[in-house]
Amino acid sequence: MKNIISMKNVTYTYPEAETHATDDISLDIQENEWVSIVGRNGSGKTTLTKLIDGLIDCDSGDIFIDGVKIDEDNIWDARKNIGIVFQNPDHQFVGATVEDDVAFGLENQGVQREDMIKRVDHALQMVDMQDYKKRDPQSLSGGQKQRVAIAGVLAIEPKIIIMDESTSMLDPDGRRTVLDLIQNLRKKQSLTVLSITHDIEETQLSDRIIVLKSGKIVKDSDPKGIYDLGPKLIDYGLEEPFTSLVADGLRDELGQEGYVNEEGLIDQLCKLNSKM
Amino acid sequence: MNKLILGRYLPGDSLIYRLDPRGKFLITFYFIGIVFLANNLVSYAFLLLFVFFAVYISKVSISFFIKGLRPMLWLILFTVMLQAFFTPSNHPIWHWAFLSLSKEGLVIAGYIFIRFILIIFISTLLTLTTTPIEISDSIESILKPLRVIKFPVSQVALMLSIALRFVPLLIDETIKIMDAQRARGVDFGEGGLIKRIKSFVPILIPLFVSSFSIAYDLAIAMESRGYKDGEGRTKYRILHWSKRDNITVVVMIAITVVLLFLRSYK
Repeated sequence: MKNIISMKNVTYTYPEAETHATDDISLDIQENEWVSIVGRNGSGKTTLTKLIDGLIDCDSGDIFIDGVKIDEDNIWDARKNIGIVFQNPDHQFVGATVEDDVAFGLENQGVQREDMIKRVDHALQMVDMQDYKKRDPQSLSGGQKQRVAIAGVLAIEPKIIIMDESTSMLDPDGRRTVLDLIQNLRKKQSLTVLSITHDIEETQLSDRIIVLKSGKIVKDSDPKGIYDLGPKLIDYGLEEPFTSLVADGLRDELGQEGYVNEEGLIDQLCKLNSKM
Repeated sequence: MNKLILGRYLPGDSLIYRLDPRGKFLITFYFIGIVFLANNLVSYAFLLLFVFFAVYISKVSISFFIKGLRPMLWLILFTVMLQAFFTPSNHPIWHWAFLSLSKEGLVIAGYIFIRFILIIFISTLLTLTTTPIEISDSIESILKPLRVIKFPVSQVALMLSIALRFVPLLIDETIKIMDAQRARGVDFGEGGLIKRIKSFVPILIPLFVSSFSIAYDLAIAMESRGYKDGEGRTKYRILHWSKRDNITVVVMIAITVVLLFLRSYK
């Protein structure tokens, strides 16, 4: 597997800040991986994504996107491979209508109009928003606006999607649709997802979880390895998974140590039920 | 805020809606110009007839236009009164101190009143049938020649369309801030003028702060989507100039000719 994002000893300090926002971070992310980045507020998660997209320049270290070291000259090309969906749906909606917003990234790249119309339609179909094409943002729910934002990102056909707490301002329903959408997209095409989140359920969908603390990577493993930490998860800005809480409460009956996923828990509960 | 018809778009479909916004925009200004050519009853009646015809084919209910007049009512009355009472005349029908009422004065006041109706109706017709984004597109298109003198036309147009897009968001933000301040005991409707103006300071400052933070977020989002400086951008929305727009232009020329003819008609 090829590394789509590669960071080598990246350090960044905000102007007039005393501590490093990211402190000597080295990180490789493979193509088609879904990586969750977790950590408390101020642990450097958003800084990390801004560095990857070249929205801020690192003080020292190198960043490679798709094998190319990014610098001032090629950052605009690198950005064509990266799409970011931000937290607040209202603060990233540039167009006056849904279709205009989806087309914004394409307009910036100077795509021809005929091609643009096809790609906008296709992107809206992928997020199932084609019926809302002519609507203005005021008439959409938060979840729908985030789907439009994702369509805008998909229209430029990026290799990497970064979700910067994209689901945190949505209701459970909106969150569900956005996450289902990402899951379905990944079944159909190769897509690397980098998702910053505080939501434990969202991390369960990912292949790998990276925990940041004070600008450093303190844990990097598959979800199970992280959930096994149990109550210590709170320190990393996460809650314990619901299944762990249930398994913990029934420890005497189940005898389960460490993390168990939903299916595993249901299995054990059924066995327990048949024993009684 | 719902009362203000002037400057609001009303979704609908008719010939007027389908006209090219550039044409509509320019014709509206042209019409406002030729209103001042009218100088007698027949010419004013002719223009009124034209405006009511335009309103009729737009299929927008006339009540929207009447409502559009309402915020301007005091201004209209004031101007009409001024004309009626202060027009100098040798044969006043009635006078008291410095006020005098004459036939000429009343006629001029009547003309002024019709002029107001014409101008307000035609501009309300433009905004009711044209989306803000269409208006901003036509401004971009009309200003295009200014590119020669390095005027950043497309940047200005993008700024305009973003500003329009964020108006409702900032209204929401204002309501939120007002509620937050009310919850802390600020009363916006009480006290004298100075006190009322002062009570808006705690709204304005948070509003400024939050609009700057929205602007910052938006700038980051735009940059991440590859917006550089407006160079080399293509356009998704394009305007179509069609046959019906040509016909409208011909109609406007005909109206001007008739108007010039009616001017000399006694």
